[in-house]
Order: sequence, then structure tokens, then C-alpha cells
Amino acid sequence: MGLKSGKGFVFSTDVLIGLSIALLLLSMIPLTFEKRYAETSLQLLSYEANDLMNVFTTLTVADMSNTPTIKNLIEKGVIQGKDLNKTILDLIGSFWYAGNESVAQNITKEVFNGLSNKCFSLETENETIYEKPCPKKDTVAVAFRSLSGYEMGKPISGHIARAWATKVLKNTTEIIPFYPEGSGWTADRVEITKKFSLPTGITIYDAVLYVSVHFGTSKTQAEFQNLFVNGVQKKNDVVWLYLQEESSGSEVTTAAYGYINVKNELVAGSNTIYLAFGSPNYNAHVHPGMRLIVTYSLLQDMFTANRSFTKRYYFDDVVGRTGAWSMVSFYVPENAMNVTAKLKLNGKNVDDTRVYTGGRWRNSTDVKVYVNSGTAFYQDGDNEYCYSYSDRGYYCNRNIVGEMNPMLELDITNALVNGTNVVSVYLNCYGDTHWGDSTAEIYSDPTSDPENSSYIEVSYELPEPPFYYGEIDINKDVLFGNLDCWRPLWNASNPKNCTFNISESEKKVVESFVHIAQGFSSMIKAYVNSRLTFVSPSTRAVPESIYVKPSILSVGRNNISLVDVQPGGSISSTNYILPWSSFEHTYIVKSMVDYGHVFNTSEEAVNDAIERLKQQIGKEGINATDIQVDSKSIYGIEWLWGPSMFKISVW
Amino acid sequence: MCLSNKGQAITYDFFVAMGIFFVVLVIIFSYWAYSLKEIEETRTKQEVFNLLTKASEVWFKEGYPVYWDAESVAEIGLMNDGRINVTKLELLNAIGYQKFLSFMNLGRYNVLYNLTGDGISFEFGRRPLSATNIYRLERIGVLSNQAVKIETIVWD
Repeated sequence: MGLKSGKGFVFSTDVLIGLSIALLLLSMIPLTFEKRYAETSLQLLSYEANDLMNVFTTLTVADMSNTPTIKNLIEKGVIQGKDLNKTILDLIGSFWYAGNESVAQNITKEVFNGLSNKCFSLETENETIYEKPCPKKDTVAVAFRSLSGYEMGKPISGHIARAWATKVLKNTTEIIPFYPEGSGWTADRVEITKKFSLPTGITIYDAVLYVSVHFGTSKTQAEFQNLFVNGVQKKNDVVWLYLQEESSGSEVTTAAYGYINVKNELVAGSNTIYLAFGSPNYNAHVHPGMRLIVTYSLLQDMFTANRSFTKRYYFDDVVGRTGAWSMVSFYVPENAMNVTAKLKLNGKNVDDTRVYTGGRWRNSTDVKVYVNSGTAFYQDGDNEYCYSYSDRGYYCNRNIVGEMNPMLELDITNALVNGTNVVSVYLNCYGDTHWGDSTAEIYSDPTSDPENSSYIEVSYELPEPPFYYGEIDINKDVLFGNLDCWRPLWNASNPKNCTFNISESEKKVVESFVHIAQGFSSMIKAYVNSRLTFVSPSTRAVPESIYVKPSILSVGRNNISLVDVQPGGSISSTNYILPWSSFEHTYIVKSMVDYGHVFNTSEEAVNDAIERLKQQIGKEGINATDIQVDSKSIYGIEWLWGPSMFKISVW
Repeated sequence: MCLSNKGQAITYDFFVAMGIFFVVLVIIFSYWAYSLKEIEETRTKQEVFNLLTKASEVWFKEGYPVYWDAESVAEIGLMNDGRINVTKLELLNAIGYQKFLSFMNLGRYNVLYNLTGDGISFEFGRRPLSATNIYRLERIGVLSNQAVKIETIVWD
């Protein structure tokens, strides 16, 4: 570039660089001072914020009793004498966390405004209790204090107590099922004997035996022969609620449902119910829904439930003329671990049959066992051949080679399912065909001869006990007719849709069941809260009860839907769900109350704890007969709320 | 580029560059001097601020012994249990300003305290009647059953 050109010389590169460096140096000097002044200003604000926090945590209510809001609260008795020693921040926190936000704001404002002209705010847990209305600035100093507060109107020293029941008298409901069971075809009478034990020391308030049978040739020829409850004949006391007569050609039979009050006949300890009825041209048997519902009071010691369970489900003793069968249902709870189960069958007087076919004698099936399936789990023979049929075309002729007393012990673990399990046992009968000659018996006598009885034994472990010490299990059973069911309420229908309520106090459900009551039945599908809970594994496999996982229940409205379907899936036209079906649930009630309010004497604190305990468990019909209390004296225990972080900002 | 045979030191460019250089040099030295003054002033202010806060802290500590008197006092603090102790206020007059000042170790500075509240007024120290510099800090404390403003003035 030629400097002689006459162009502006101050724009040469050297000069521009030199000027830039000089200006840069100059511009940096004032910045240093601005920062230092800001630091000093922040320090001053910080002193102010901390001083204010100290004032709020040092001054007491008594000190500030002349401020308008506190004075008013004292006059109204909201603030009492024992509250006067609490700090202002305690007071503000108490009102704030009790929901009296405007009172907390007013106190803060009145205390602060006389102290400083600065801008200020008091916050707790990201909520602003009070902020002086003024513009925000970049420099803000804060002071923190973590604090728990006292409850207004309560002393901070005195006595507190807690109480728990060690023995209670509770009302509970026990359901003793009669499983679907009966005789073979063209039955003479079937005899069913149920032996069971009720806990000793109970007082029975109510006992209703619901009877659900398939009997007779017509409604007027019922052949309901005997019903003995502990030796007392009660057959004529049955109130028949539902009779459904159906015919198919010459076969005319009746499904019947009724009830009988047996409170006066039942006793604590061992009981026996004996039932005999016939169905000359069909199959005499018990239908789903036959059960005894007993309500009694029970004295119970507190304990923690086990995690390991072994339960036996005894068969009823069934004596059928031309065959005997029974279908026992039981459950494996959700979350169960290490589940095992075995079936013990003690059959008596079972015809041992064979047929000659294919040039040789073959052992025919006389004993069959089904476990959760339409395919036999066990059968004693290798065929089901008959030479010919007689007796209205249903009688199967075979060679009877003897009489046997089959004693089976089967491990059925591998066939188990979580939830409801169904095990069916058939002696000398199968479906609509029979080949027995005389009587056959599923033997069971749980009270006198438990080891030789027929039963299913299930063992499992739970991750945790269903209830702990200090908790009481309460059992309730509500008939569908008393639930909110789709109309008509007390009529039979198929399907049956009901809703029911689980209250807040019942929210800890540990077991729940649907007990199915039906006249005629085929296969059942059960939905709870729209989830498929059970479906029959085969035709005629309708269990006495269906286990409902407690985890699918919720506080508030729940719904149940039961539908009887044919093997092809269509809804059965003559098989109805009866309104005497029921929903049973077991829930947990706390039988202890924690430390309560502070009282001036130990006696007052103990009495309060006992009263609280009585009220808490009394709502569930429980009386505490033995109560233990624990009281202690306290001083300065901070409670009600906290610990909470309070923040004072000053700017 | 066509270069002249003249020496560059006496060219027009040279004088212009020298001019700019000296102007910038003067500016830099001016700012430097100003900065030194400011830094010194700030340092002084910071020192006085530290003295000021130290002087004000006497209202927010207990001293030693905790309940000292004019004879036993080793460190002056006017607070007990979160509140200013009225007895200690009275003891300040018994100790006297000069002894108080020696405890405070404020160097060449004097101090004056003004405490005001609802119906309360307390003053201790020397008023700044012929002060060169006055530094003031206001804080809030609790005296008896009320919040009070405490003004601390340090001066020389």
C-alpha cells in the first residue's frame, strides 16, 4: 500500500490493533470494583436475613401478643396459655401446615413490617408464606432454618400413650362348603355326610344352611328324604326359594335351592350334617351353592400368621347307589411359592369290572380322577368299553369280577394352577353313563378318622404373613341379592352382573372368593373387574367357590360377572346364576393405636389410648378383652409437621 | 510497493504513531493511578466493614465468661439465650468506653451503638462529632420481649 496515496492514515492495521488493546485494558479496570461493591452489599443483606431468622425463632407468641392477629387468636382461645412459649416461626408453621394460610400470612406480615424496610419473603418447602410486594433484584440473600412444629392448643410436655389388644372378641363368618357331588345314573338315593369342626369357645349368632340339589322326578315328587343336623331331622324346615323343573323325554327332574336355619342345632366343636335324596330317573347330586354360613363370635389371641401353610380340603363322605362322585375345589393364592399338593382317595365298595374284547380280558376303568382338565389325570383301567346298554339305554354291562376299596395317593402338584383348582373323582360312574351294581363310597370322616379320609392337601409359602401381630382378620360374606346386581336383584339370571363396594377400612384384603349358586349348570366363566378370573376346565366342572386375587380388587366400586356357557361357548339358556351366590372377603383390621395427644397425666393418656383403640376396632364389631398400654412422659417433642425447611429471603 | 529513500523516523507516520502512543500511555497511567486509589479505598472499606461487623457481633454473642461482669470479663458479648441481656447493657457503662474499645481491638476507629425499639432507647460509645469517615451498619436483635434495631457506627 502506498502511504503517499493520501488516504486516511489512522486506519492502518498497526494503529487499529494498538487502539483495540488499549481500550480493552481500560475497560477491564472498572469491572473489578463493581464486583467488590456487590460482595459487600450481599454481605449486608445476608446479615439482615440471618438476623430476621433469629428474630422469628427467638421471639415467642407471648412476646408478640400485642400484634393484631395474635391478639385476636388469643382472645378467641385458638392460642391457649400453653402455646405462648412457642416461637413465632412455630406459630406460623403450625397455621400454615394446618391449612390456615391467611392467618400465617398475617402474622408474618405484622411481625416483619415493624422490623425492616427491606424487601422480604418467608418460604417453606417451595411454598411462599408471605412476600412483601416490591420489585425483584438480582442480589438476594437467604437464611435457612429446619424446623418441626407443635400442634396448636396442645401441651409440649406431659404424657402420651399407645395401646394394643392382646386378645379380642370378634364376629366373623365361616363358610363350610358342600362340594358338587352325588351318585351315578338312575340313582336310588345318594347319602352325603359332612363332618366338620367349629372352633371351641365360640358363640354362634347365626347359621344358615343353603341347600342346592338336583332331585326327584318333578317338583311335587322331590324325594328329599333326610336332612339331619347333629341328629335332628330338619328336612321339613327347608324353605325352598327356587325350583326349576326340566324334562328331556321321559326324564323329568328338578333343580332346587332353599335354606334352613340351623343355629340351634350347631355346636362349637364337632358337627355332622347328613343328607339323603334321590332322583330315580336321573342323577341325584348336590349343585353349586350348597353351603353352611355360620356367623359367630370368637375369642382370639394376637399372633403373627404363618408364612407356610398346609391345608387339607376333605371330601364329604358320599355314598351313591350306582356310583359316587365329588368335585372338590381349592385355591392356590397369588404369590404362593413352593406349592405342592396331593390327593388321597379312600374309595369303598367299588365294582371292579372287565370286558372281553379283542380276544382277551381287559381291565375297564372304574376309578377316574380329573385335575383342572377334561382329560383324566388318573384311571385304573385301560378302557371304557361296555358290552351293551340297558336300563333306558344308559346301563353299561360289563363283567363284575369283584369289589375293591381303592386307596390312592396321587401327587397332583404338576397339574396345579394359581387361583382356583378343581379336582373331580368318579367311582363307577362317568358322565351320563354308569355301570355300578350297588353302592360305592368316597369315604371321609375328618373329625374321627382324618388320616383315612379322602382329602386334598395343599402346601405353599407366602412372601410375607397375611397378617402380623396387632392385626385382626375379619371375614364377611354378602349375598348377590344384597349387592348392586343387574336386574332383577333377587331373580335367577344368566349372566349375572353385580357391583360391590370395598370401603377404606377394608382395603387390606387378604383373601376373597365368589361362591356360585346355580340350579342347572354347564360351565362357568367368572370375571372380576373385567378380568377373567376362572373358566371351567370341562363341562360340569363348576366349583363351589372361585378364588379372586386380592390384588385385582380396589377400594371403591368393583364388579363381578358370572356367565354359564355351553361347551361350544354359547350362553346357556336354562342354566341360571342364583341371587344366593355370594362374595366373601377377608380383610385386616389394625388392633393397635399409636401415641396420641399429650395429656397432663399418665392416666388421661392411657384412657385416651384405650378409647381410641376401642373406637377403631369397635367399628368392625371387635371388642378388645385384653389391652396392653405403653405410656411415657415427654418434654419438648416436636410433632404435627416437619421437619420442614424455612427460608427467609431479603433483597 | 514503491518505497521512498527518506528515513522512516522523521516521516509523518512516525509522528502520528508517537502521538497515539503517548495519548494511550497517558490514559493508561491515569486509569492505573485511579485504580490504585480505588483499590486502596476498597481495601480500606473492606477492613472497616470487617471492623463494623465485628463491632456489631458483640450484640449476638455471649462473651466469656457467659455471664461476665465488669471484673471477670475476658470477651465482651451482650447476648444470652438468643436475647440481649439487659444486665450486660448496664455493665457496659460500668466497664467504660476505653476499656470496651480495648476489648474490641478496633485500632484507630471509634464506635457508637444506638439501640432503639418500642419505648426503648440505648446509646453507648463516642459520637462522631469530628469524624473523617463514618461507617454504619444496622442489624436486628431481640431485647427482652421485642425486636430492636441496633445501629453500629464506626468512625475515625
